[in-house]
Amino acid sequence: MPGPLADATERVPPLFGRINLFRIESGIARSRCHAPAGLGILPARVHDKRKTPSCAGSFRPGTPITHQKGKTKPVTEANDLETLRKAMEEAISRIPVREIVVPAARVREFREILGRQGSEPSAENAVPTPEEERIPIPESYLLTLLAPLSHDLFTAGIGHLLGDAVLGIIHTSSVVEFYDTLYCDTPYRLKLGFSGLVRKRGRMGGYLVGTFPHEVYDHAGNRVASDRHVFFLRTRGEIGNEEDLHG
Amino acid sequence: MVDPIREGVDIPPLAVHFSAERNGRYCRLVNEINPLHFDAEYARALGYRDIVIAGVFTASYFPELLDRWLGRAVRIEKMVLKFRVPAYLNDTVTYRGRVTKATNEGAFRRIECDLWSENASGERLAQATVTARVG
Repeated sequence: MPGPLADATERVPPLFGRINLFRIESGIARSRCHAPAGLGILPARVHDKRKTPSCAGSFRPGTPITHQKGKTKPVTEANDLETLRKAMEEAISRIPVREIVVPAARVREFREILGRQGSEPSAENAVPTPEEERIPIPESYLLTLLAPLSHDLFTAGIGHLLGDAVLGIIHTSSVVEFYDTLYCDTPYRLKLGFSGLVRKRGRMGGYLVGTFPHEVYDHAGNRVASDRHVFFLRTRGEIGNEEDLHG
Repeated sequence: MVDPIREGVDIPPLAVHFSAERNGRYCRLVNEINPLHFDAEYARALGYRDIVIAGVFTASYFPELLDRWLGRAVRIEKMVLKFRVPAYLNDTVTYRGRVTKATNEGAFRRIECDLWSENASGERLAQATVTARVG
């Protein structure tokens, strides 16, 4: 029996229509919604050396992705979870690996946001040895470092597959592992993966539960950190077949 | 002298206010695209009472809690995060933790900790099980 929340959910505009309100193609996101003061214009990521994904440049603000020229109908219309799973796997495999360098200034800003005013990441290190002169990236920064992969997932990756079916994205769990220290001003590669999609139903409606490994590699190809990132995608109506209900 | 890093010891808590200024700075830093984290109307339409602070942001304070307690001596190896209840804009969230296991392994110690965050009502928002090396 749908409750008041279900009614409210039906009034929510599709998420990927909202995401289209941003000028992603220019690297500058401009909110046309009700952003808090100071959030109107977001600066470009100057540190990001990634090539623009092929479909990101075709986004047009205010136009649902599913209605854009050259886009196929969302796979969710097929009501087939296995088809969606395969399409997501293929779409994610096409997302280019990001190459990033994290400037020390960016880590300093992050630490200031956390409440460490004026502190340097290596401030505790009274007498640095040559190795320690490299400024380590604090472990608290890893999920932030990986955030662009989640953006890729929903903009260049699976957004056009889900179309109007997804109302909201909720990060529900992560398993984060560190295999080595990460350093500022050092090139790393960020890789997005896909390891599962199931359908569930909760108090507030239907969900797709997707598991998307986010991995960091150094220049030699060694994995230095990873995050097994799980998103709940709140869906409008049902997606998938009955046998997937308890997947 | 009592060992400060031992099983059962409570980690000094850390209170964080997720103000609009702090959330706005973080959203700008990551070029946030999910309107749930900056659009109150959108968040309310989805059934939340206000803007939801991004999980990756709130979870950043779990390593920070250990860092403020032990400094650079601590290196996290694994962190299992579960988000149960959202933190909202203008919530004050307190991060707490307890050492559940501490073993000597040669030149360093390995600790396991249960960390969690709670809002002003004492409701648990997220929890993290952390394995770390100290020393």
